[in-house]
Amino acid sequence: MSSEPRPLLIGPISPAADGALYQQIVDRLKREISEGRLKPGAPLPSFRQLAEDVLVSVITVKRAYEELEREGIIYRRQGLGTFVSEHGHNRSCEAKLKAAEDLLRAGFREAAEAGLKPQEILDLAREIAKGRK
Amino acid sequence: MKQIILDHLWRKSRIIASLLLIELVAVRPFGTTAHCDIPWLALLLSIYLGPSLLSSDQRRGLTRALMALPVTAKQIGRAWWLSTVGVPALLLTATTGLSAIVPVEGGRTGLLFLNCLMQILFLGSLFGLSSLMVAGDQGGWHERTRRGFWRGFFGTIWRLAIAAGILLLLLDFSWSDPFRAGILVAAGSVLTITGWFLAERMVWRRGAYRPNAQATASRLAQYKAPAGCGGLPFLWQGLLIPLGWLGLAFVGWLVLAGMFQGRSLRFPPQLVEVNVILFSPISFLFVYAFVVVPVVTQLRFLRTLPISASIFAATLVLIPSGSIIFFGFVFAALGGGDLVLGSLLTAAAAAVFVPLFVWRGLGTVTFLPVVLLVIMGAITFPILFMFFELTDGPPIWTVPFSIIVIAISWEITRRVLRSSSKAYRVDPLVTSDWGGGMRWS
Amino acid sequence: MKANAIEIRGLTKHFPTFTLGPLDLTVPRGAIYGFIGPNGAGKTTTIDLIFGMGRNDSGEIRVLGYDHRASEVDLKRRAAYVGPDLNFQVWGTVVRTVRFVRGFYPDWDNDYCVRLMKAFRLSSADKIATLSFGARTKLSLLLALARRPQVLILDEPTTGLDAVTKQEVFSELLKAVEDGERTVLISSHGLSDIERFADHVGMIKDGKLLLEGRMDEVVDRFRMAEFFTDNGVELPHHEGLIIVRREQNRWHALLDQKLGVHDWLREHGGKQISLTRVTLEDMFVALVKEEEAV
Repeated sequence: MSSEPRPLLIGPISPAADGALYQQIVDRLKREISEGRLKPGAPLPSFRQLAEDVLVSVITVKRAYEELEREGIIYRRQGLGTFVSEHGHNRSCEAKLKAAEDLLRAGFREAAEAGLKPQEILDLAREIAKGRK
Repeated sequence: MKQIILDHLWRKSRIIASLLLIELVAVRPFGTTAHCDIPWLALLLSIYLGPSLLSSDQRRGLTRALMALPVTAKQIGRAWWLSTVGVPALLLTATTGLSAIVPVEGGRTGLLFLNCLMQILFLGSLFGLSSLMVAGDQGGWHERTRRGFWRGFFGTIWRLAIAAGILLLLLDFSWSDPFRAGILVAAGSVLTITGWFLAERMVWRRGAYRPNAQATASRLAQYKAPAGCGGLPFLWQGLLIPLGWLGLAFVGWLVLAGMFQGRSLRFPPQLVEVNVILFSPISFLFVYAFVVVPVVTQLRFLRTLPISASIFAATLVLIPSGSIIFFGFVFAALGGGDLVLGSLLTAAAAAVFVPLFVWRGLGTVTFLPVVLLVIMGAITFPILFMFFELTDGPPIWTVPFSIIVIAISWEITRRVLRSSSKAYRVDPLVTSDWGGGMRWS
Repeated sequence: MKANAIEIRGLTKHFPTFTLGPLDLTVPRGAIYGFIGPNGAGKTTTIDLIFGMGRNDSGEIRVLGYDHRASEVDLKRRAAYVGPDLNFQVWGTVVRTVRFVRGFYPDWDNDYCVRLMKAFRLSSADKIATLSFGARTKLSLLLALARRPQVLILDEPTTGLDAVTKQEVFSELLKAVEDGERTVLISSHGLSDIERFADHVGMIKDGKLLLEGRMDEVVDRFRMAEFFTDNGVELPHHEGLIIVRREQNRWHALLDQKLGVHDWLREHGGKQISLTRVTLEDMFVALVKEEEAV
């Protein structure tokens, strides 16, 4: 058992936030990878270590890792651990891009249902983009 | 207030009824016991149930339950005084008066009344003492020391007082010296009256439970692992110290009692018989203090330790029995070797209580058979001696007899530990510190 | 194939008012197993029986392969117990209690003990009588953890604890099972905590195990359904459909997806069926109240 505190990998996980706990872990890890803080080839903490850091059950972490593995973002080596895959960064970015696209689509749909015409929606989008800057 | 008194008496009455029955069946036909001029021994002993029933009730949280009712603390306190001192006093006077009208075989009426007065004052003193005892654990070290000192002081007096009360019952107190008698009467009266007025304070002390915040915000906090041995040897070691004190207290008491009676420092063999009669109730106290208190509050935890039921049971039985036999040797050095045999019988008596307490803990259910056993023990020995026409002390067959009794007790305890679920259902109020709590050292 | 940490088969015990069992329960090695159930369902009794507090009428209990009656000492050397009514007041101070308990376990880790004392803020000289309720629980936990047990059995360790203490407790528990070899069985009423920290769950009701399995699978199995029926339509009883509430034609029910209830419902007149996921607590309440709702 390690006694020194480990560096924090991801932010706090809470039932109050959106999405199931395992999904939050998935999203956070994707963010770490896509923003370059976790480089390709870098090791990820073991199930139990991450569970302990984030205060969730091991099953939750396992599920998150399984999903990331399925998406090809991380891979497991028996006996050695879990690592970020070579294409992890890209895949992460891809995944995040797809998520953004879905959200935009959903946003457009909502706006259209609210009665806005396509041109008005684009104007709104431009204003939001300006506002963010 | 009347309700409180009635409730207390009702709960006592069942025990009193059984004792009366025993008295009628087992004692009366044989006449009064040789050293006692007090009639209705059972009734008398039942009166002493008052203080012990009250204190066990208090420990189990009765105070808080009563305080939630529409009665003032003063009323509660006074009700307690009346039920443990007032009503028994009336009973005592009544029975003494009766025996004056219908004289007991060989009784001396004047002495009877004096004895009666002493009993009443003794009860009052017990009540008064317990109202003076302090509760609580907060405060800095100097407060704790002060409290600890007073607690130790009153605790010792309390324990001596119980022993004294039992002695009073059974020994023939010669009142030839009016000065001595006068002191006792004065002290007893003061304590009794103090008890009446301090009763309210007792209720507040026992009932005002404040949950303790964790005390370690202080700079005195230190996190050190303890040194030294642990486990069962540590348990035994922890027992030797209070045992040592108790032993000293007993020896001291016997010396004092002897001196008070004008006897020399040596213990004559007749004391053996008295000791044996005396020891049965004492053995109950031993078991109560050294088995009930540490064990019953911890039985669940102790059961999860990696020791077999056999060893566990042996420890439980040997703690009181072994201690008593040890005392037997101590007394034998002061008196005759027969005292060892006497202590064996007592050790056997103590061993009998163990499975009972382990099985049922501290309920009214245990209380009754324990009191019965104590009375039986106190009555059986003189009868046995009369029967065997022994004056020299217990015969040699007490050795195998005691060993067999202790062995049987060990086996029964072992079985209770292994198979009973009731033994492990601890009353949660007993394990908390509401109004008294149980402390060991 | 590692031996299971705890295996209970056919455990039965009769009481005058209640019968426990026959109970079959399995806790895999390295798991944190949440043992849940309504009051009086038999959780404490089951745990008590593991440690020989009472004799079972039939069935067997094995912890790490050791039988609970034949090898009770071996079992107790490796399994630790924490319960709500453990009271160490007799020993006076924290350090004396630690000293007593330490003597029984050769695997005692002194450094870990000191670390836990610091983490739980239990000073050596603290008198047990002055400890708050949460502190006493932490002491019991410390005594159980510091001896490095292979199996930790906790009977409602979080009852009455404030949120901070609870988190400390769970944090230490997760640390303790980090190596994957140690197992925890925890019975608790804090269902949201159990849902978060336990990876297996077993629910007991009326002395029998209602369900058992991986936490995510078990919770995923159920859905809360809201649906309507036409006037006068009564639904026959079907296993896996637990009616929670009904107001004329509007129904709330817990659905067990494993038993294909959704289709059955549609066939039997359920309309506008909407399904939502459930928390462990939703599931628990519906399953416990099942008999009352009918």
